[in-house]
Amino acid sequence: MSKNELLQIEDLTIELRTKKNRYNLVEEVSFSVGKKEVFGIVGESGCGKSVTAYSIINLLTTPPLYISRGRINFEGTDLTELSNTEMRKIRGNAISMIFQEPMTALDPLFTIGQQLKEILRFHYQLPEEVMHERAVDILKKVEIPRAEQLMKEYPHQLSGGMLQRVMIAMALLNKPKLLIADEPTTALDVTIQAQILDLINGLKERFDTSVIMITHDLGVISETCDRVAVFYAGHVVEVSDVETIFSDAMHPYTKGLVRSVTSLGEKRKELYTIPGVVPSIDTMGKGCRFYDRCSRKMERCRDVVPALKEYGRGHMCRCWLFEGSEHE
Amino acid sequence: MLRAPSFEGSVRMRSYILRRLLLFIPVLIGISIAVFLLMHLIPGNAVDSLLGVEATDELRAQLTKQFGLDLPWYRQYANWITGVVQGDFGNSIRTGKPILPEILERFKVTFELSLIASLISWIIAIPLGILAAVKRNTLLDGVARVVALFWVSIPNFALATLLLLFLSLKMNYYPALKYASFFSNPVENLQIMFFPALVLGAIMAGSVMRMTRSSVLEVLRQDFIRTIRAKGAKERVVIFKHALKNSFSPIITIVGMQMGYLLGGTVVTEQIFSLPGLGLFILTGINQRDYPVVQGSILFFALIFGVINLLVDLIYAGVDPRIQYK
Amino acid sequence: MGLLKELLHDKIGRIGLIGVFIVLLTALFAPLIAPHDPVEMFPQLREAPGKSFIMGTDNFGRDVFSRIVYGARVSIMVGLISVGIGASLGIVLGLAAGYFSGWLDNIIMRLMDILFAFPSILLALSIVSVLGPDLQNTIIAIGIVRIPIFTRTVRAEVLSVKSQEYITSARSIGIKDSRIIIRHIMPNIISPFLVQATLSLSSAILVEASLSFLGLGIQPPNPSWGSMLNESRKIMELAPWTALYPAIAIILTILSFNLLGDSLRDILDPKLRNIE
Repeated sequence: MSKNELLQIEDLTIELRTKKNRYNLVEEVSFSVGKKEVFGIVGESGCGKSVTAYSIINLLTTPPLYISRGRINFEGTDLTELSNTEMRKIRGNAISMIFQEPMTALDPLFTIGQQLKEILRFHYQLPEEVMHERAVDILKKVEIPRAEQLMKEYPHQLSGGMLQRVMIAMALLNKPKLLIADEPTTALDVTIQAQILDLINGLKERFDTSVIMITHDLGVISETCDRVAVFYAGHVVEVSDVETIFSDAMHPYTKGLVRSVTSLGEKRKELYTIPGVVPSIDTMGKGCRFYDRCSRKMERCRDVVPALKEYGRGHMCRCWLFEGSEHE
Repeated sequence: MLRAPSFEGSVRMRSYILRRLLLFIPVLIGISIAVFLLMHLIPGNAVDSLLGVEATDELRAQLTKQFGLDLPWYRQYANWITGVVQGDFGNSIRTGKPILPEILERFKVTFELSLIASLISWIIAIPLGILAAVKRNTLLDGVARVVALFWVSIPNFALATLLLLFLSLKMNYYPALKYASFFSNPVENLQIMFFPALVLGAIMAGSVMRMTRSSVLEVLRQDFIRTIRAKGAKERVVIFKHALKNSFSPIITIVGMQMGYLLGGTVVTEQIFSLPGLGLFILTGINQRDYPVVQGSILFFALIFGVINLLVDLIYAGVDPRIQYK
Repeated sequence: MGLLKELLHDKIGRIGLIGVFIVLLTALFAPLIAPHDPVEMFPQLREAPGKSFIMGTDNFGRDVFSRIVYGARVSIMVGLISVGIGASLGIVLGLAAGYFSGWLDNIIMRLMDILFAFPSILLALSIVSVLGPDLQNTIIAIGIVRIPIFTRTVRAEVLSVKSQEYITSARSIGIKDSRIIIRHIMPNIISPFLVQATLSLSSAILVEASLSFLGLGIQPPNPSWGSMLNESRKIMELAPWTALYPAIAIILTILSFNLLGDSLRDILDPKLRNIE
């Protein structure tokens, strides 16, 4: 792992085991996140982006989900090899996570202050006054007014936007190297959304924290991310920096995605959409998972899954259109 | 677990209590009317059953007037209710003695029975329920669920009868002939109470366990549990600090609901084990058509039930900060 | 039906279904199964189980086995009819309260609250004592006791369905209320109703047995498991079989219905069915 890389996921495969069958929800996922970087993961609902994120800090519900293959390298350690106790020391400490629904994300029976101090208490032994001070401080840093008073309030007394700020503050208390944000603004109003995204944008400079931003909204990606991985039906189909994705995408799915977003600004009679639907996990064929909807499909695509390959300057793509003719 | 309320909080608490009390009164009135009407639809009345068929019309009329049974029903109700409010539940038609003192005396027995039974059931059921939820879908969970289901299906009188059968055959045990109160003779009292409470409590334990399990499961599915794990909490903290506290309210609800079962269950249990409690009082009152007794006792039961519900609501408010703001 | 298959798949459901089936069949074919007349008194008093009397005889020389078999008939009949009464009234009240809301809802729910305030056995007890203890009144009493739970269940379902958009749009187009109720709301009620009905059956059988045990339900010499158990108390030591068999019959029957109801609830409740 190079000096500027914080997290490197290699060949990650997550399996869903039911009584009758095993399915690979997510297959051969590989990408890396650098220091001081906002890395986006974009894809439709059910494409595996959340599952991948959860697996980084092992929040998967096992059973029925299992990491069957792959490595997650973080600061020299393979996270998939860690015991539960060791993993616990990293959660909320070196790697934090915030979730989609701020209104239900906090325990309704404890005050904000109590829950903030809790994350400190899980990892460090600190006197009460120090914890209190740090908590108030972090609330101020995420631009929450009346921080001292807020400490005594309960979650139900706050609005969604305010709660999400609190969540971010809480996640930052232990100065994590990495913050994973799972659709943090999806449940919020557009105006609040902008504020929260601004906040997240500032994190890499102010706190030296990298962010993994998971979303289905390309607009969010364009506003906040440096680089992005595109997911489709459990596969990473493309990874690149954001400008290239929008101007010069390689994979047909990515191109379709970008087109459907940018067609909003154009004067057309119809919005562009990618025809077809995402295949369900038990009906997927052996080959490329985008096969049915692809406008440039070939014979080979139906039978064999293309590998994820690098095509220069960190641009990766999984598509037979680009893989050389040495593969049959 | 309970928070000490701030001044602002205690003002709100007081108004909340007031509101609950005010809401309770119409329900109580409704219950008293329902009970009263019920009793007065009895075909054949107390006078007849007291005197027998051969009594003269004169005697019958005399007694009827004496008991106030010749007045229209709303007058009887008014008389009764005004008496009740002042603490006079009327007199038993059979014995002529005032009812309230007897109710109170007998209630002590029923209360003690219920208390011990409840304690037994909570001690068994709640930890088991929590354990089953935490170890969901493991062998322990499966076994616990089946056993609980089995228990729930046993009527208390069946269990009691079988128990008595077993005890008398194998261990030469017989229900005591004379009842000893706790304050006069604690050891003997507990001996007398043990098996009836055991029967009542064991059966309650089944349903309490099942409901505890599903409440805890419900809480564990909530989003905030995921957040707490993501913060790096030990599983022990997740369960004992957060899940349990959030389960407290639902479990209290369950406990409150069980009170209703309990009150009904004491009737049968007291009958089988010959305990001089309120349940048995009602039963004999019914058999003897002594409806002041039945009326007064059922009203008393409803009162107690209502008070318990009120207490439950107050405990909620103490634990859950969201309640007072409704 | 797919439901049947799923029930059989689940271990608990399978046992429950078999148990319920056995009881139903026994009740239905009682005259064919019972070797003797249940009220006929034979000279062999309190005889131990043996060749002529499989489960022995009771204090009056009646065949315990035949009484158990006919007792099944009584229990099932009381259960089905009383739950039928409670369910039909409960559905009507629940639909009215949930769908029309307003003051109607308030009145109905206050009434239900009052009924709910009484523990079911006490309520049934009071009603039976008012009307007089016999089969018919027992059925009525238990039926009335069952009404509130059905009302509440149905009302809750109606409220949750009513708030859904397709109902409000149907109403705004002007579709008649009765049509909406029948075609859109009722199908959604079936699942929780079915679960509730099964559990109510077990409860009804329990209450009937309790009432009969207390001497306020089915009167002897008519066979009822509860009264059989009551009568056995005096002669328990001499003839334990007179207590044992009725107790087992009651327990197994209620258990079967509970298992069935539990399994039904697990299958039909969408929330509990998640793989993820």
